[in-house]
Amino acid sequence: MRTPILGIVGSGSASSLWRRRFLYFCVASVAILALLAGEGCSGRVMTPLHSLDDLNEHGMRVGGETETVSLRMAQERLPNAKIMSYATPADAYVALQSGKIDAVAYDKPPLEYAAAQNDAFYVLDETVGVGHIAVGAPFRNKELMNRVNEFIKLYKEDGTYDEMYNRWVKTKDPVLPDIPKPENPINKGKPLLIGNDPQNIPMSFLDVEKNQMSGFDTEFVMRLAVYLNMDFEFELLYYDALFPAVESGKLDLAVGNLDKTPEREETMLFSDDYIDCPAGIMVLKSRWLAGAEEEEAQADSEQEEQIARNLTFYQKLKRSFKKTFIVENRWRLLLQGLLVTIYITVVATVLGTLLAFVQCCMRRSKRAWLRYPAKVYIAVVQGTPILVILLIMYYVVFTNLKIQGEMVAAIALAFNFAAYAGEMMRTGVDGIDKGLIEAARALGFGRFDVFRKVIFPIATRRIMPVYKGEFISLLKTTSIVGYVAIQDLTKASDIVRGKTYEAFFPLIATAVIYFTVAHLLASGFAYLEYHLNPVNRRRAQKGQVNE
Amino acid sequence: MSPENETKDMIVVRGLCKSFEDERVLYNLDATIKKGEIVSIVGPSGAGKSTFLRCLNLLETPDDGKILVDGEDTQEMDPRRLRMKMGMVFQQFNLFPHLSALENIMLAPTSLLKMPKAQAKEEALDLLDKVGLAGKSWSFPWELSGGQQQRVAIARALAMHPEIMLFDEPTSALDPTMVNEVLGVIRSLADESGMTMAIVTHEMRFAREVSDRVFYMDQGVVYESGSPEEIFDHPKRDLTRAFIRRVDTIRIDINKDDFDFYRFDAKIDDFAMKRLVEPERRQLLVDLCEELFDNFFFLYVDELSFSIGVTEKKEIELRYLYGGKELNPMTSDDAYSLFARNIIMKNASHYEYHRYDDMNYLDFTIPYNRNK
Repeated sequence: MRTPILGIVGSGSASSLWRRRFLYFCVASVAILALLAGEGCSGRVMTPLHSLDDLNEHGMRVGGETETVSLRMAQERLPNAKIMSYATPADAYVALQSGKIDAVAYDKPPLEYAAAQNDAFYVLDETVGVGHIAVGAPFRNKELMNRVNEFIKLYKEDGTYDEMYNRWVKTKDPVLPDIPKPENPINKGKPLLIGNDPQNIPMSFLDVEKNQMSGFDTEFVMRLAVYLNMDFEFELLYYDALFPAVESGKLDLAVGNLDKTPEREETMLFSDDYIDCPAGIMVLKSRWLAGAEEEEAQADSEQEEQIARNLTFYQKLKRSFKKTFIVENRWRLLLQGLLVTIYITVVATVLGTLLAFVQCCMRRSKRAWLRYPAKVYIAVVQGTPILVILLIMYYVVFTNLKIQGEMVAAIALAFNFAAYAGEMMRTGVDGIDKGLIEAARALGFGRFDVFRKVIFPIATRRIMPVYKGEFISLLKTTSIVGYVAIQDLTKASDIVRGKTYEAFFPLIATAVIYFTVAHLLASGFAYLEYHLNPVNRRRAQKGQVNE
Repeated sequence: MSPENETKDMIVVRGLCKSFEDERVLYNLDATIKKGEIVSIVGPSGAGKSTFLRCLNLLETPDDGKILVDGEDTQEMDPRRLRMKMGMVFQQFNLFPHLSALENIMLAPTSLLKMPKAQAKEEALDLLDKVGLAGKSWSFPWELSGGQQQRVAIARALAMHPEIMLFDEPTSALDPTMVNEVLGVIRSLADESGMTMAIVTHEMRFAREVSDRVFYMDQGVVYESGSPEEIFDHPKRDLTRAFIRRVDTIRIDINKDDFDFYRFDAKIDDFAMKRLVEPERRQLLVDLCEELFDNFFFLYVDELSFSIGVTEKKEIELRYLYGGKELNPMTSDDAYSLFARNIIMKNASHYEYHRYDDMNYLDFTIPYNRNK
């Protein structure tokens, strides 16, 4: 076998290329596992806590979900503590467990549920207030809102509210009762689009097993639908994304722990309160050593530590694996998320490449009226964060169009991809020696053939490495699509995390999945690159000519 | 050559003009190349030789004029069809880097002539053999030397079976050791193929040996044309003579106000010394320049361009080029002209004045006296 010329390819052959890539993959995986092994290290001092007031001191950190009423009330009650906002309650739990914050402020029912699931947590009896939870709607739905208020009045009077509160907040393993959808809805074929935040157990959450929404809010909406005789669909969003989604009119109604503030009332409608939900505080059990519980708690936590110590690293890993993937068939949720991620990546790449090509042609055009729009486009897109582009696409551009959320995300990402890939293509094409183009023209090739036979193959090979990088970066950028109600891999892992109350394993597992997929896709590109290299083509085809 | 071919014109150019921005490169150029004729195009750099060649296959669009190829007006032809009839070889080879030597040659016939691959391959291998590179079919351009690349480029152009071949300084980018292998290939083509060929070159001996006719290009036109003997041994016109006989030249632009005579002096002395001009004549050269600048040119003109060349016969040729109104010291009767004339007549073996394009040209030659 000939040694490669000029070191264009470092390896000797295709098979050793794959060996090398596999080795590289293994090393990276070991590095991630090592990270897993070193879980839970935090430098913060853990002073014992005796009362709620202990948290009201400088240096204390109280975390919770952004924009929630509980977090606001905690801030009023504990003015000296520093308030930390997280995107999801699960993030706040993880932060609490890893010692980044001292307490989580959230609705008491979900906190109690979390404490029941994870022995490390303890929910204080004392609350920081009561949140009045309402249904949200855009201004255009004033009529609908009146009907919602009628229903709320009725369901509070006839005892349904108390029954539901008992079921979801007081009972240990609540089950969603069977409430049939209205048979002849008045809005047949045009279901109400109702926003919900799926990460608030037991108020609203995704039943992964049945792959449907469950919880207090869900039951409320189902009963409401029967009352209104209307069909509905849920749109699952992060909590803080619910407000803009209502405001922009994307949603017809929204539930999921919304509360009125004067400011919010300027931009959207709120119903009367339908739940009065106490806002609780949760801390680490090992730090809660107040009064009579002290000894018991200490004994408890010691016992627990003993158990935890007795578990080997392998056993812990196995337990976490089971919780993340096996229970409730959660792997299916993650797999679906992964497929969504891949779908968006592929569609965005294809669309983005086409767009990049058009834009590259415009940019290279002799006509200023073609060149300038492309220039402006690149400047605008490159200068705007991709998340903002995505939100604009979702809430502004495609507000009233019935178009799949995944497609909106893919289009937004394609726009972003094109701005970079187009410039790459331009560099690749501009870098080609003008003499080669002249030589091809002098042989009799027309413009299109010059492009097809000379410019394209040379430029493709030249830009492939950077293009690959941009593609991988696109794959990773898809992790933001959770902001617009798409359940991609990151969002799915958030949902799982919200159920396992575990800090590290689901995050690391997600990282491993992303890394594996990125690596596989990059290997595909490496294969392409290998075959685009003429030296390798010669090696493969020596003797038979390929034009 | 049969008499029929002798009369048939392959390329006829009438009134060709081409400018780049403000620079006029070709101006009213007329030329005719007959079928089967080998024409070398020589001339100073910047004379428009390459532009002329590129206008023939429409790589440059002429501003004005008419070009007939095989009786057809190129303006009315599809450039692609024109170029298929006309192979071109470039100074920089321009081989496609993503294709092997064989694929470079096969690309155009398979895609443009729709030739079957097997046939294209067979022909390509024959052509590679013809240019002496039979063993290099799977080499990529970067694996070949400059001379080998240029030979592949010639084979690539030949693969289209062109009726005309254009060579644009095919050896100028080559290492001197590789010039001959390329010239050898072109020479054998010229001898055997019967193709019409136009070769822009600086290789004078090659041009003399291979050509049926030589074009001397200057001032944007074919300034003089004729058989190699006519152009190289008995050039009729001044610029041709100057170019052909002058082996080496140096040109110095002079401005009266910041003229540094010592520097000028050192420059021409150095130039002459490197060309083995003996000390006596170097001294004469310096003195003569000083006298003429101080006592003649600087009294009439502020700016002039001075060039000096040493011919193969060791004559020193001087040219003064200056603007302004007509000023010929050889015929004027004022005292300064008389003085200049005396000096020139005393030292020069040959002198000449002419006016072209509002510029004055004054040339004279200091002879080489073997006996001294």
